[in-house]
This record gives sequence, structure tokens and C-alpha cells, in this order.
Amino acid sequence: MRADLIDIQIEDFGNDVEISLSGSLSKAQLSAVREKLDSLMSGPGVFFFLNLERAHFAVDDYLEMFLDLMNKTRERNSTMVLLFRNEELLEYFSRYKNIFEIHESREAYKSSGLSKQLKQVGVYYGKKTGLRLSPRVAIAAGVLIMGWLITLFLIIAAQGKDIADKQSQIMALESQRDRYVQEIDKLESSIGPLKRLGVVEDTSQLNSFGAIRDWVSYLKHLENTRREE
Amino acid sequence: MAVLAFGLTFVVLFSFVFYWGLQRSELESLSKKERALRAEIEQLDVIGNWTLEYVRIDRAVDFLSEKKLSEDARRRLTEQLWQISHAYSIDPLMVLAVVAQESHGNPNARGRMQSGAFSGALGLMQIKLETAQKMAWRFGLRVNSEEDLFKPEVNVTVGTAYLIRLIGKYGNWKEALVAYNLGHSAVDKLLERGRPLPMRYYERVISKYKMLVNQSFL
Repeated sequence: MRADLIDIQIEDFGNDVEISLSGSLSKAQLSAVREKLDSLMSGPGVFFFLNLERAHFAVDDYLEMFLDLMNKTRERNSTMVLLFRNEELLEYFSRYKNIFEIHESREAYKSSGLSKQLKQVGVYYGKKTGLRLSPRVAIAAGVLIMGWLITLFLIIAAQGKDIADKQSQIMALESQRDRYVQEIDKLESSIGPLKRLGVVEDTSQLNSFGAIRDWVSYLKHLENTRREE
Repeated sequence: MAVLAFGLTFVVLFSFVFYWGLQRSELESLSKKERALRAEIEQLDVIGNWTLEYVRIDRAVDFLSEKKLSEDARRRLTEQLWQISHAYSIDPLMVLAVVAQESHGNPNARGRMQSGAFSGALGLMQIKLETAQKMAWRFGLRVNSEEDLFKPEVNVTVGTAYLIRLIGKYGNWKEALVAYNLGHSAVDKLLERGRPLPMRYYERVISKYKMLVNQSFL
């Protein structure tokens, strides 16, 4: 009879131990299965993958057994992961789907680091369905993104205002500078030609004063001579 | 659909960040330009004040010397007064007012006493050789002969140094100017005896100062 069969296979991958449980399991096999799994999962290994894909549970008592096993593995700082993909088992474990780690395969579990965390906050991804968000996560994500957009928009708007202010300040400063240069030019030209003053050095290195370069150079020469004396 | 929405959001966010980066770079460039302009204006402000001072002296010297000074001598005198006013924070027009009172801007002036005899005072500020040599020694200058005192820039330098010393001694222009005219010993005696100082010389200098200020008003 199928009900009497307990088929357990073990594959050891170092820290990973995959235990495949097959057959139709009724109340009669419960204590034997519990004992067997308990002893296997007390052995070496960090990750215990229980492959239940080919198992059929006739009674709900197995759920309590798996909960008990999971608690024990946690106490030993190990992890228990259930592996299956069939709808029947999904339905069987549906009450505890948030408690058990359920994956399609060992590889799927290994690559589920980020997606597992995302699932916990309500983000799902499937090849067929694409990316799906729970309504709450979708609203939160939407609010967050809108917040970013609004903040960036405000920052850019403030930057635009700063730039406009700076440009007008620069225009005012340029006009002030030009006025200074014109006034100095007017004053120095009232004295007479610079040639008359005699002391005009090479001014090729001065570039800020345009038309009054020679005059600036002359005054600096006077000031430097005074300091030296 | 969700992927498209995420992609679109990412593109918009990236565009915003890129635009923000551009604006920030422009803002930095404008700030740099502003700093450079402010530094330039600050320097121009100093140059403007120097120019103003130079022009005031130039006009006053021009007015005072008429054609008694060569162009070269006039320039050297202006430069010397500009440097003195910077070094000692003294109003150069006040020095020129003394020049106007003492010599009427004649660099070759020789002082005469009421009797007509030579008083020993020489040049623009009517300095005696002995006084000039004492002052020149204190200021690290060299006055060897009377001829040196006929050089406007030398005479003004030594005369101003003497004037500054008197201001330091009496603490005000009034007594310093009277002492410049009468001699500090005479002023000390008058002050000791509590007698009033003769103000005529001081008033004439101040009157000439006002005239020069008006003349060089810009």
C-alpha cells in the first residue's frame, strides 16, 4: 500500500543537506517520519532542505511536525527550508506560508536573498506575472518616489533662483568695476599723459585693469618705493 | 507595467540629478567669478583712493608752483608728497599750505629777516641747513649742502619730518605750526609764561590750506 511507504533520500553538500521525502503520508507514518527527520536534522549541516515535491500529506498533523522541526533547527542555529512547487502542497502549507521558508528548489533559495526581503515587504516577481506590488507597498513606493521628485524639483528650483541672484550680483559688480575703472581713468587722464610720469613698467602681466593698467603699475611702484624707503 | 513605471521614474530621477549637477557646477563657477570680481573691486577701491590723493596733490602743486618748477621737479614733488602722506597719514595739502606760506611755491627761495639779512632758511619749506641735517639724520636721509635744500622733494621731506615732530611734541596743529614759524624754544617759553601765542602765521596757513582744498576739489 502506498500508505505504508516512507521513502527518504539524503544528499549531502557540506553545509547543505537535502532530504527528499516521498510517498503518501498518513497519521500512521507520522511518528516514524518525525523520528527519522529529527535524527537526520540533528546531524551535521547548517541548511536542511526538505524536498517535499513528491510527498502527499493526508493529515494536518504533519504541519505541527514541521513547525516543531523548524523550531528545533532554529535552536541549533540551523535553517530549515521546504522545497516544492506543486499547488497541492502550497495549499497544504498555506496557513503557515509566512512562517516556513518555502522555495521551488535549493538553487532558488540560494538566489532569493534580495527577492526574499522584497517579498517580505510585499514585492513579488515572477517570469509570467512580472513585478507585482502589494497595494500598501505600491502606495508607499509611490509616495516615496513622489517625495524624491518633489524634493529634487524644489532643490533645482532653489538652485535656479540662486543662479539668477548670482548673475544679477555679478552684473552689478561688473558695472561697479567698470565705473571704478572709468573714474580712475578719468582722474588719471586729468593729470596728463603717463609718459610724463616717467615710471611705467612692463605691464604685460597685469590683466585686471584694462585701460588703467599703466597707472595702477605706476601707483604700485610709488607705494613699493615708499615701503622700501 | 510596473517595470515601465519604475524605468520611467528612474529616468526622471536621473535627469533631475544630472540637471542638478549641471546647475551646481554653474553656481560654483558663478561664485568663483563673484569672488574674483569682489577682490578686483576691493583693489580698485584702493587704487581709486590713491589716484584721488595723487590728483589732489598734483592740482595743488600745479596751482602753487605756477611756472616756478620744471615739469620733472613738479612730478618728483608730487610723488614725494604722495609717499609722505601715505607713510605718515598727514594731509599733503596741509604741507603744501606751509609751502605756500613759507615760499609761495618757489623752490629757490632764501629767507630774509626784517632787516633784509639772510635768515638761513632755504627752499620750499624754508628749512635751515642745521635743522635739515638733524632731521635728515633722524630719517636716514642725507643733506650735505644748501644746494640739496633747493631740491623740492628733499626740502619737503625734511620740512614735513620737522613738522611731524612738532605735532608729536605739542599734540596739535596750532602750536606745531606756530613753533614751525617761531622755533620750538620760543613757543615753549611763551607756553611756560602763560602768554598767548601769536596766531597770525597759523591763520595764514589755514587760509592757504582752505584755498588749496577748494582748488583741488574734485
